[in-house]
Amino acid sequence: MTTLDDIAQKLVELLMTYLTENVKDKKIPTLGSSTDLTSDLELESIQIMEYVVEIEDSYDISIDLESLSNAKTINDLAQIVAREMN
Amino acid sequence: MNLFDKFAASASIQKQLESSGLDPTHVVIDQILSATEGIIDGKTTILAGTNNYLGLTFNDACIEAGCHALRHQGTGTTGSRMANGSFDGHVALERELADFYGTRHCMIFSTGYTANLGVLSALLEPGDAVLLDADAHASLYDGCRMSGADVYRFKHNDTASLDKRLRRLGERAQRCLIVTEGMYSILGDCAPLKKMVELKNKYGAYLFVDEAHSLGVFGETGRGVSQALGLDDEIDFIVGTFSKSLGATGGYCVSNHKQLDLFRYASRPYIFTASPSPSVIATTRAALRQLIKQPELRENLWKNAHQLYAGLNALNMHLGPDISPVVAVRMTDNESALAGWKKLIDQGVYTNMIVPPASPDGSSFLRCSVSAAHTPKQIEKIILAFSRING
Repeated sequence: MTTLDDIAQKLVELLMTYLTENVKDKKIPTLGSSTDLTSDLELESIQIMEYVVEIEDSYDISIDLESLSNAKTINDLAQIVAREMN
Repeated sequence: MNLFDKFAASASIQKQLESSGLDPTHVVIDQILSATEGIIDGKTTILAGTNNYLGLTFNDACIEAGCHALRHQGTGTTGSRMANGSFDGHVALERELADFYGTRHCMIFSTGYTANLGVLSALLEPGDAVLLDADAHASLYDGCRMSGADVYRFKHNDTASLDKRLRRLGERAQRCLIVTEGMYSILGDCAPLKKMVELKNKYGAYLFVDEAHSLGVFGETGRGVSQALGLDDEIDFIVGTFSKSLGATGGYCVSNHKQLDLFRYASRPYIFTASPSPSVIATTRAALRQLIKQPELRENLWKNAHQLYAGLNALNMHLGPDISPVVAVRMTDNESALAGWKKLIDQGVYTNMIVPPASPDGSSFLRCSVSAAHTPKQIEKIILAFSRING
């Protein structure tokens, strides 16, 4: 059974391609479920959109915009993924 | 933290823009000389970013129609059609647009923005699903959100991405609206409508196409990308605007679904907005007649589009994928876009500076829109001005 931690870990892996080298160097040691996508990782809205599309296709789910509007951290996203998988 | 603290980021952007000497978001055109020229900052300037595709804003017949309406019907309607009633021009324009598209129904709105809000919010409700192209215009996002439906994005113009999301909806696909644009406003690229129609038929969904930038530009009679691809009958809802090729203000939706007329009872942006003023309706009707009887306008437009695209391409500018009346030059970052925009305006060429979050893929652009009214010499001047922005 896939746990929330498993999902969070996979989301961190998927996230790596969207981070600038600068942010990667600074953040990799502390990257985790409580990392804030915009304030900690400096992701633009377009990058978050592309990241979410990749998450959707990885899990074969669709996430609606309203749910996303409340998601700030990787953990928030992991919870949405878990909900959509069930 | 007070109500205004949230504007700190905007204030910072404004400061940066003003540092160029002329804020691209607050340009004042002191005098309009024609459909393609104005005076900005004391200088005669070629207008290369107005979406005035057919150049009809100074058309004599349109101006005469507007003046006549002003004199005989007054300056405004002072209320909504539901409360104050319709003027005969509103009804006539709806009939003329329906005839132009060959559809049974048409509904007009006071702006293009409210047309999208009005149609989407009336058509959809919580429990319905929308599949929205990621690069869709803000009015489409806002209309979908206003409806309360579940909104899912698919990758821009990517029908594989759309297919996956339709499949995931299962039976809900039959309560799903696919929302796209004919020609996209920033890069001038077109939606793969043929494949989208196949998908909507495969899953039993519905298709909504915003042809705001393609009316008068594409298709044998100028109906848009849907017509150019021979798909008019397959599109459930076509929405457009009067504010580009028709040189006025307002929006419309045409459809063969008889329920469109019932939207008048459900669409808050329609019910609670003052209806278009008589002069706007009159100039729009006159412009539609010009669009129909002057196909040479469309020919000139495309000739100019090819000239500009070829000229900028020869300068090795990074352009959008398709040749169209929207020609966007991709810049390396916001700063180079602002500097380039300023160099163009200093040379008497007005373009649109497009930067994130308004840009489609997080890039910065200097966007031109070509008009049928531009002369070859004006296009040459635009190209020459671009050749000097990197110096």
